[in-house]
Amino acid sequence: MKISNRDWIQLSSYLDGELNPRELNRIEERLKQEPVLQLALEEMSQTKKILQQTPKLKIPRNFILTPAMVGAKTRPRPARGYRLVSALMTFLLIGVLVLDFGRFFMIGAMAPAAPKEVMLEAVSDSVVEALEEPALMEAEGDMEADRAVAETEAGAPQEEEAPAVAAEAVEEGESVGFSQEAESKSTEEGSTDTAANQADEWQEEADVEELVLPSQTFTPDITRTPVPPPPTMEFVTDEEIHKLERIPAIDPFRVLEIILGFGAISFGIAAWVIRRKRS
Amino acid sequence: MMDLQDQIKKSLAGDLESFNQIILSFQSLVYNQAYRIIGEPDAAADATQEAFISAYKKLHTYRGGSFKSWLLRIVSNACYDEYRRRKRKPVVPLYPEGDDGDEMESASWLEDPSEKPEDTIMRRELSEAIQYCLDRLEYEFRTIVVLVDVQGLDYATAAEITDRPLGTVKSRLARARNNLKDCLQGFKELLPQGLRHVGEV
Repeated sequence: MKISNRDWIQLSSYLDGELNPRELNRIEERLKQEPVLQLALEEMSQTKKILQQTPKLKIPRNFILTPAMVGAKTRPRPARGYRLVSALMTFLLIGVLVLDFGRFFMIGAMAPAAPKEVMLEAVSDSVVEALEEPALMEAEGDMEADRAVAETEAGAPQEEEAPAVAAEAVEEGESVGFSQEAESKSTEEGSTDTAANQADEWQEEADVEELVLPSQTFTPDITRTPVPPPPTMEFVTDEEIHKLERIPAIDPFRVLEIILGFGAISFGIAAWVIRRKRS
Repeated sequence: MMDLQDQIKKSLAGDLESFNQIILSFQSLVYNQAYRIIGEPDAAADATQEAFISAYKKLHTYRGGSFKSWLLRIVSNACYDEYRRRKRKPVVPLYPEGDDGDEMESASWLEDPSEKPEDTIMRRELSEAIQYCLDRLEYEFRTIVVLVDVQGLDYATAAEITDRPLGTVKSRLARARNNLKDCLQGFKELLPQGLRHVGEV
């Protein structure tokens, strides 16, 4: 029969009188019934007796202290300062990380709850402009295309008079320079009667004016009135954009984390190296 | 002759002579404890010296009660430091030379010259057998079994000295005794009469 670890502990404690009354009664009952347990107890008792008879060794010398021994440092703890600094920096790093994450989660939690006005205010004007400009330009482009189509349709019955003008307008989709180009084209064709041509042109323009596409209903008279030049846009070159991208956003938390992390590791390694050298 | 408490008071006041009196009273106990735990005479002597220096410096932390227990706790810590140091950087022990100039390979220079030669041999061999078996135990098991079985302390004091829960002390002691029983079986002929049928279960 094998004796379990628990039984060995009970027997050992029983031998030293360290069992409580309930445990004592239980083990004594078992000892009466189980001879193996009794034999194990006997052996453990003998082991204890042998150990108790361990011969006492004579001391090799006296260990009395001298003032020099007490005054001098026995065994200075190596690199205690380094270890302390390393530990301190580690604690600070943990603190900064907690604050950093806390800040991150605070911002994350506040964002959906913020009122719409606040959200809009938060967005800078430049961003709004940047968002709106492409849409405007696109709409303008559409308008111009529609206008060109309209001009083409209007010019279809008068193809004999100025076919080149309409075709060019459709191809380029530019209504702004329409009259000028038509004029120049007419001149190039070597028309002799400039007055008559001018009158035809005016008539043609009037026809175009009458035929307006639904998409152009909101537009002002673009054919007659000179279209103001498009607002000058300050184009940012690619180089400048990349230059802006290259400028890092310096987060003080990040800098602090890097410094503390680097410091903690460096001082820890230094302490370990010094300790290894001295021991 | 001053009693222990007076010696402690005077030592606390800076009287080194009084503390040396305490050392003379406890040095055998401390050295034996250190030797049984570490297993090397030189290391045990170093640990003993360190323990007494440390005890003198930390005497203000003694809050009454058993001075022996308080001292053994300091010794256990000193032994552990020494044990770790030697484990990191093992040293070859230098044994003292005998009359013939040869190194003495056991702790026989510690023998009592007034003892009968056969008794001396028996005592030495038993001591070495026990030490051999103790050395095969894990450090913490060894410390506990030395405190309880060799030094005769109770479980609570051993738990206090080793800074371990009572249950841990109980289980480690039981396992240590069980392992020692098996080991000592190999040294039956060295054991005192009446204790030679150990390890038959």
